[in-house]
Parts: sequence; C-alpha cells; structure tokens
Amino acid sequence: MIEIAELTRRFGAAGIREVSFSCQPGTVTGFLGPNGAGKSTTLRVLCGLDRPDRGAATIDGQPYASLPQPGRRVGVMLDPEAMHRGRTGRETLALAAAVLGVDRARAAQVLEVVGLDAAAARKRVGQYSLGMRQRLALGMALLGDPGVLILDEPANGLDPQGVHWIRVLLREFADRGGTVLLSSHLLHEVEVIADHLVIISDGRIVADGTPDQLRTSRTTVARAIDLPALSAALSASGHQARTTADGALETDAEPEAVGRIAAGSGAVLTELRPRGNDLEQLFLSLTSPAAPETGTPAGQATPAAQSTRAGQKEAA
Amino acid sequence: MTTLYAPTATPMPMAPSPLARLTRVELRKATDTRSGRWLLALIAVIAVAGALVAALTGGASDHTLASILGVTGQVTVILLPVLGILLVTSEWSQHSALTTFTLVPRRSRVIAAKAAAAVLLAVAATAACLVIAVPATALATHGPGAPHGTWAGAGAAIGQVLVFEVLNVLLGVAFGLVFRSSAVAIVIYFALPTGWSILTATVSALTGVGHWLDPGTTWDHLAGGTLTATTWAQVAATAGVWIVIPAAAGLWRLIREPVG
Repeated sequence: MIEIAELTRRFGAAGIREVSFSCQPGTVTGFLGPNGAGKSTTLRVLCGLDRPDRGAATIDGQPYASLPQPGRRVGVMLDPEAMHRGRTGRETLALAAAVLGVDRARAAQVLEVVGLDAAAARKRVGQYSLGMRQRLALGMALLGDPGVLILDEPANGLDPQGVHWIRVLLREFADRGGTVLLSSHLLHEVEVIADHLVIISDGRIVADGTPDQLRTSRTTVARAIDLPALSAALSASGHQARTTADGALETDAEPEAVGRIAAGSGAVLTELRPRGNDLEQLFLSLTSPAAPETGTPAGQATPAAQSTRAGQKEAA
Repeated sequence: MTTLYAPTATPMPMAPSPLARLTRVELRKATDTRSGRWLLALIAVIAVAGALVAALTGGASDHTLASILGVTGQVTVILLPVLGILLVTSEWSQHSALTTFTLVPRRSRVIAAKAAAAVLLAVAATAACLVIAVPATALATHGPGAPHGTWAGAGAAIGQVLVFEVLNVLLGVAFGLVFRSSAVAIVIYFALPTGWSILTATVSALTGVGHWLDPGTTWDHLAGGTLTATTWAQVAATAGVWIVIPAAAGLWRLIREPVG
C-alpha cells in the first residue's frame, strides 16, 4: 500500500505540486505523464532520496526512510544505470543480497526469474545492453521478496518480448496481493496492465481512476444556429464550454443540462450528443494543452480535464 | 514464475542491516573491481620497493625495524588515501549512490560503514608493511645475529605507523565526502597538502601554522618516530582540520541533499 498526500517539491518553476494518490495491494498503478512532468521527482521523494517541501509519502503506513529494512518491503527500480559498471551482474546482486541479509540461493533464483543466464551474470554491467541492465535492476528490486514494487519506466530499452515478459511478471506480482507502481510516458505501455491510472502533467495530478472511469468521463458536443449565444448561456450557468476545431461546442455539462439551457436561452440546437473519451485522446489532451486535436491554447484547462476531475470527485 | 515466491533456505530478516554487515559490504566493494584490485596491488608494490630502498641504502642507524617500517608506511600513504577517496566517490562516479542509498536510506550509516572499512584497510596496510619491513630489516642487517638495537622500539613504531595509516586513509574518505568526484578529489588530495607544504615552507609567517596544520609535517612525526607531547597535539590538530571538519561538512551535505 502506497499513500502519497499533497506532496510538493519545487525546483524553481519545475517540480511537483500537491501530488496525491494511493496504490492498493493487488493492483498495478500506471503513473503516466510526459517526460519532465514530475514522475521521477515523485518516485524519488517517495523512496526517500529527496525531501518534499510539503506533504508526505508512506509505504505500508511508514515513510520509506523509516522502514528498518526497506528492501524487504519495497523493491525499487529508479535508474538501471545506477550500477557500478566494473562489477559483474552476479557481484552486483551479491552485494545487494549482503546488505539485505539474503542468502546466495535467493540471488541465483532472482537471476533466473529475470532471465539472465550464467554467461550474462558473469559479464560486467558495463558490457550489458540497456535491456539486460533493466533486467538486472528488476532483479535487485525483487531480491528482498518485497510486497511493493516501485518502478520508473521499467519497459525502457526492452524489446517487445521483454515488454510482454515484464507485463506478465508484474501482473502475477499484483495478482498475488502485491502493490505495483510503475511510471511511463507511453500510455500503451501501461493501459494493458494497469488497474489504476494516475496522470501527471506539469507537476500536478490531472486524472486519477480506473481506465474505465477515465474512458467514461464524458463531455457533451452541441451545435446550435447561434453558437456564441449558447456558449454564453452555458458559461452563465457555470459550465465550461469551448469551440472545437470543426465548429461545435464541447462542454462538461450533461446533454440534458445543455438541452435545458438551450431551451431557456432560446438557442436552437442542431446537434446534441455525449462524447466518451478515447484514453489516448484523453491522455494527450490532459498532458499537452496545446495539442492540435483540441486546439486549446496552452495553459487553459480543457473541458475534458475538468469533467475528469469532476468525475473523480464524484467517484470518491 | 513460481520461483519468484519460492521460499528461500533461510528466513529473510526484516531488521536493519547491522553496521558490521555494511562494513563487510564496503570492504568487498573496495576489492571486487579491477580498479580496486589494481590500486591494492600498486600499494603493495610501492611498499616492497620502499622497504628495499630503505634496507639497501643509508647507514646502520637507519637499519632498524622502526626506521624501515616508517619508510614503508610513508610510501604506502602516497596511494592509501586514494583508496579512501574511491570508497566514497565511486558511488557517484559510477552512479551507484542511488542504489546504495535506496537499500540503506540512513545515509550516515553507509558513510560510517565506509569509514570503518577504510580503517580496516589501514590496519591491513600496516600489517602488510610489517610483513614487508621485517624481512627487509633482516636483509639490511645481513642475516641472523642482527646488531644490538635493530629491533628496539618496534612496538611503538608499529602503533605509530598504524595511526599514520589510519589518519591518511580517513583523510581520503573526508576528501571523497567533500568532492564526490574521484578525479577532483584525487587531484586536490595531491595538490592541496603539497601546495600547503610549499606555502608554509616558503612564507616564513606561515611556518608556525605549518607545524600545526600541515599533514606532511605533523603526521610524518608518526612515521619518523619523532613524537613528543607537542607533536602528538600537532597530529591531532591536523586531523581536526584535514579530516574532522571536511568529513563533517561532507556528511552534513550528504544527509540533506537529494541523491542521484
């Protein structure tokens, strides 16, 4: 169980701001966002490598740095490059095993689990491909037989078979009651495996829910003879409304509410339909406000984002 | 995937890693890479060469165990501090700090283990110096029946060389903590005390300070066997300036700053 509450860590204009979410045992949480959105900062603060300005992050109710033997509770893989290049894979694991007080048999077992054979284990880490380093780093994370896994971009550098393998491994880990938090900047890498998606953009959480919840977050598309009048009426009723690229209005109001507002204002509707979210569209619209599909100026919240937040509040 | 959760032969502990275990890990880190082994081999070669030179040159008064051990000690500390530096800086130059401090989030414990490992390496270096100096002394005095006084003061000399080796390796650890970069720490380690020695030797106003704060002057009393109450105080003062202050500053920064 991972709980992150209003975590703030600023680096000038960058960093994270009031990041809150939790990861339940038995689930895989996909932590999504473009590069530089704050994923690694969040994970580093969670693992005690950096201090938050405000807020708290706990694992099984305790801050990471207070866990007496963190490697037995949490397997962490933040950077596959964070290994001495002059040591062999086997020696790297043996050192970690010695710190954890885990026997050699476990280290050998882990090598097998992550698919590094004896020849690979004897090689120096400096001779490893990125994929092999990812496998070794994952082995380090699994070494202490933890109940929680925190992985930063674990699929980086893996070939398609490797990506499939890590998916199966993490799914089984979660199905046995483990808690998995993995970050990615690619939606398709995590949407197949994640039970829970948290999307971060520009240091803030912009969506948090199951993939189905995020998909069913809806907006309404409407057209009217006098579009500006309808837009003004919607705004006057406290709804967000914007004109789409093809000249319709997209709003966070329910279709029925749009119909009532139109009737009240005398606007003649020519089209009225609910619009479900395609996850990819949603991800793009939430993480890049200036994306061409939405045509919204940078910095302005899209109706989709608004309704997603609202949907989450209702769900919670 | 069953192997992922297969029970291991012994139950795995939840308790924090004891310092002794972390120290063993740090000792292993110092010796399990090619660069680490090369450095140790180089120190041993230099020690043998130093002992031979001391045994084969100089007068009869120099051919005592205390004197030869002192020379052996002095040549080993040319590179021993580099061992101390690398114990710390390799974590950063090899990017392994992230992994190390993820496994042991109490960073001061990692540094304590590194300092303990450095001290044990200094003890090993002293033992190696002794192993080299004894036959060298025998060689200098041409076989059995060594002249009277050859082995005099050996006990005190061993103790003083041990302190000398420990201080020098801890100086390396302190420099490593301050600079965190192998190259920068090593260059400054070689340049700064030398520059300081030159400065105190040439600027007469600084000569008095040099007697107290120049490791090249004060600590050499340990290897040279020229110790008095005053020089012991000078040894301690130098250790304070060159070890305690930089180590404390480096540790303070390490505990507060983000890793990686």
